[in-house]
Amino acid sequence: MVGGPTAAIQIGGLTKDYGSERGLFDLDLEVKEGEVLGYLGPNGAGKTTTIRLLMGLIHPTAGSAQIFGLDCQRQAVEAKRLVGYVPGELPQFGGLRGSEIVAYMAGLRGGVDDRVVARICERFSLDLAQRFREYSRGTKQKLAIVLGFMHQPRLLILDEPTGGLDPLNQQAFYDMCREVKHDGATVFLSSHILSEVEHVSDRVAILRAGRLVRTASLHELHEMRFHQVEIEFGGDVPIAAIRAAAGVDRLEVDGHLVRCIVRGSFEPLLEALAGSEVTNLTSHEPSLEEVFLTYYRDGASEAPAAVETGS
Amino acid sequence: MLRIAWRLQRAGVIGMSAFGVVYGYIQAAAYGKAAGATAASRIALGHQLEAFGRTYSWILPLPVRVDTVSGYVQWRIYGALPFLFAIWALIAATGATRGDEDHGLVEVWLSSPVGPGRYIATRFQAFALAALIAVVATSATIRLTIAGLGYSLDLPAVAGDSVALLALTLVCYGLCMALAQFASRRASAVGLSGIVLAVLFFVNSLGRTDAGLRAVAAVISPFYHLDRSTPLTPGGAFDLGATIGLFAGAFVVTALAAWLMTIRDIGSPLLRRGRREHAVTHVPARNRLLRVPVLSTLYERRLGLLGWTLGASIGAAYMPTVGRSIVDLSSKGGSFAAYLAVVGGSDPYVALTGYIWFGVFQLALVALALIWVARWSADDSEGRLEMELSAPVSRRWVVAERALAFVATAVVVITVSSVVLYLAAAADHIHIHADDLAVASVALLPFVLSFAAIGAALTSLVPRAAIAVLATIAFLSYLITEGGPLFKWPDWVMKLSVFSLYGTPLTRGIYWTGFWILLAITVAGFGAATLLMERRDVGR
Repeated sequence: MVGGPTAAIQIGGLTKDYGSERGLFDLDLEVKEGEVLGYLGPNGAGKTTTIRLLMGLIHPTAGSAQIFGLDCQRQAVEAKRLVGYVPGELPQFGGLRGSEIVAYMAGLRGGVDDRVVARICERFSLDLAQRFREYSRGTKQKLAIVLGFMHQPRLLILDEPTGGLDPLNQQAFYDMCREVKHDGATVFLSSHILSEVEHVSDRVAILRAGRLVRTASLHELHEMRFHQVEIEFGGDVPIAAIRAAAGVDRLEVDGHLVRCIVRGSFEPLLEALAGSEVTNLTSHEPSLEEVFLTYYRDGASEAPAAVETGS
Repeated sequence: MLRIAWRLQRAGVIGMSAFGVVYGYIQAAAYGKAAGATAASRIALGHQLEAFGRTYSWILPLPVRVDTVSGYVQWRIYGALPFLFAIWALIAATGATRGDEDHGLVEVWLSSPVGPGRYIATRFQAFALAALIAVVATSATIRLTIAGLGYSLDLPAVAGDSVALLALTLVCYGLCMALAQFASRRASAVGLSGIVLAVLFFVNSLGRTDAGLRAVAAVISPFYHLDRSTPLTPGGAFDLGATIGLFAGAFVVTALAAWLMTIRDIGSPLLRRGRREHAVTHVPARNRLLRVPVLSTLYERRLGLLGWTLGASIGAAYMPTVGRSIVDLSSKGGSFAAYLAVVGGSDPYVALTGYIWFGVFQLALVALALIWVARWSADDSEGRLEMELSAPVSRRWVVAERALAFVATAVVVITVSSVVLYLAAAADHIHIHADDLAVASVALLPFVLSFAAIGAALTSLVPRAAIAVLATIAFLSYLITEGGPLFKWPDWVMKLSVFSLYGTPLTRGIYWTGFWILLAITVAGFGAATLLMERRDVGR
């Protein structure tokens, strides 16, 4: 564990063992103040468990976690004063209006500036006059964002916060993350969507089956990303040119159909295709799990234990 | 489909069958203890029960030939079971309709090639099967227990009572499913159905001593038609027409429920207020109550608080009339003096009004505690607790806030209803001493708080099972109060009942031993709730 006086989050040997290999195991991680850390992992990897441990909602089997030097278990109340939390899904607030829920949570928390609330609501076009049960899933998520950001916390812990948001609102959310970072806040952003963390993160931590397999800079993350491409030709397949194109890998040819993966830019591949009769070209971004599988199958990182903490 | 519906019904049928078996056994076995071995002792018991029974005519049928075992079973057991089965029907019906709709389950059903009509029909069939099992289990227990005492109950008569009970249960189920179509949430469905069933029940029970109400009950109340069948009472008979009428009624209200569900939007109540235009707002509510702990909870539950206060006040306002009519009805019997010796006090009107009111009010307050505990448990499973704990508040603060909000609610309900009882009694020339009433009312606080405290501890320990465990504790506690005197259980067993620990403070003064035990349970319960809450993991 690498520690420092300015760490917003300091996690050492943190373990929550639910049995049957489920939970979180021996997590060492540091998030510096002012940093945006993308916390990536497929479903069930242990992201929410980590967040619940940080929020003091569950007790660790072993290890410890600190927020700005405050122990997340013993000094949970003091630590939570500094934290804004956005859950993946808001609880049921029944017949209360949005404005009443905000007032209620502001009463619990204290130090909420109504002008900040108004600013966030306007940004997301969130009408607080409506009752909670009338809100759509996306609108509930907007409310969750308001509740997490309204007291301008030093640390934001966000658990898959864009679920249910449309692309415009997702963009507004990413902008807001960048702004709070600019203002000096730290963001711990949990997600299973690679492109989401790319938007805002300085660094990513990748979790798989309850273990931290890697921390990486944004540049390293780009290296890991690839697209699965399928090209159908009307005539001859320029196989040599495709094979020679930078970033192309795992080439498979089946008659006039070519399958491959492309890392980085598409430009070399498109140049290789110039002059050929392409009847169809499809490309899709694989899921995070597929990225991991490909990543480890390729031997890019043989040992998951090659953990890089800090920077 | 039926298999899935049956699976959803499984916990209910196990719970209700177990309840029916235990209740049936205790009530039947109590007869053996109370009746003695001789004909003379049975006749003496009959006279005594007749006097006692008349005082319960607002909730049980009038006792007829209770000196015989079959008359006793008809009155004491089959007289009370409809009320209990109706409550089960209410819980099951509102759960199958609004409850499962709140959880998105109905939407899943209806996304398959199943229409609302078939959905309602399937749930009804599954419940009918569950009700049949529970009724048969209960009746079999009663008959076997009575047989074990050396008496016999006529099998066709027991079957007749069972069929009538089943019919009534199904009417209540269908009716509550229909009423649930008008509600926007499970809680409001329970409230609406509870009010309607209570009205139908009391119109019939009060109609037993009021000819005007009896005529109304004959038209609207299924309980009236159930009362027509008294096959176990010597000289009584099974009313086939009334029972067929109940079954027909069950099908009609179920068909109505299906039709209402067909014509409404899933996720919305049948009748909706026109959506009022409102100004868009981006600022938090100005209401200061929302920002103050305890008051924010009371504000959020203001409708429930109002409903409970009004309901209790209406009951309190009506109670002196009930007390007076029962005293007038019963005081001619020779056993009434013995009865008064039990309830205490010199003025029979004061004694009986207070005895009945505080007996009923105790049960109502237990229901209030159960509802609050259910809410605490839901806060946990629905993520509300997690959200609150994401704010800088401690877990002990959460327990303390819950306790204080409940105390405030109980104080309001008890105080207002006691004032109403005092005024209504005075208006009816029943002179309850204000001091005695204040003492009896204050003593209710540790009584209801002890239930809430046990519930709080259970919520911290096993949130998902808290309500079932607390309801079982309440039920067993009540059974001790009921069965203890009959079975002559020792004093320490009686002290296990929270109901017994309250005593009869209106006429005999406060029962201090009980008071201190209740207070100790309250402190220990909330203390344990705090410790357990500190140690447990929170989350959905």
